[in-house]
Amino acid sequence: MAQAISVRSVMMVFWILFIVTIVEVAMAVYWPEELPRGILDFFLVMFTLVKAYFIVAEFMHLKYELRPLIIMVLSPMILFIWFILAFIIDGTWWGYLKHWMGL
Amino acid sequence: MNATAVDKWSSGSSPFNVTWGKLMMWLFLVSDAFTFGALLISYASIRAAADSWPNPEEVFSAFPFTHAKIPLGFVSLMTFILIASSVTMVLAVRAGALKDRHGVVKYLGLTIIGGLLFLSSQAWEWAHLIMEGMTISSNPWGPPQFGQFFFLITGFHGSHVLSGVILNTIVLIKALNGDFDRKGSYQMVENVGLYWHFVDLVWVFVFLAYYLISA
Repeated sequence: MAQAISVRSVMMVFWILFIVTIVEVAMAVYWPEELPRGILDFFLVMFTLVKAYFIVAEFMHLKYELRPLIIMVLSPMILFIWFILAFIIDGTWWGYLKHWMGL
Repeated sequence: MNATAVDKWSSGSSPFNVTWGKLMMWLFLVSDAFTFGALLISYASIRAAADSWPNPEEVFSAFPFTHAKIPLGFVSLMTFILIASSVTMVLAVRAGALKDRHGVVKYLGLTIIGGLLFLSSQAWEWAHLIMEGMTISSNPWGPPQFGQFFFLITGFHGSHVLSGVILNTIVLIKALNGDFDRKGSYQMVENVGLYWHFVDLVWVFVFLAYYLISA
């Protein structure tokens, strides 16, 4: 199993992570004022998920494990969809109450 | 269910085909993902509720040994150090799978150096920000919650890096002693390797939430 690690694919993942990080930083620093920041944030989240995929699949070798292990590790991550949405919506609503209702 | 599947799930062997230690490491990492998730999501919630929020490109623009302002320059360097140490960790795991003691020692040593470089970079960044007036109770750029969450989240991540460096050092000493050769298995290198990559994975998300997103 671990014998399957090839130096070539490890170096490829390194360059992917390196280049994606440079692109992210360049986009964040040089994003034009006229364009909405929401588009930038969408791209940044997508790039981060790409980096996370390569770290987990290749560096942590999860892609090459048996399917039951992959399911066991990844299925709880579905909870993050609720977790993130619920708390950002709650925070936004609390900010609204503070600002407009004078709480 | 076919016969082989039943065999796999009956006692005597792991249905995941991994050792006990590696399985427990994965379970720990799943739970730790939620610990970090809770910290980052509470940060996002407070940020969504705030009237104003500092611009990270302005806050994180200092670089050691120069007075020039390089937005996100130093933290990008820290990110590259951590990615590079993940690469040397993969090579250490590979050497372990090939039972190459010399390779394990060499690449684990490089990984430990990478971890120590990251920790000292973080110490410099903390010291610099504290001197600029950002503490857990005050923040010259905006709401104090920015500083509170910064020190909480990067501190919690930094303590993970520190424990990773300690675990790697223990495994390095065991490798030097020839413990793994006597045991005939370098499985422990792979287990601490998983932990080390997880620390890198968390940093990717801390980097996104704290340094990049600025809406």
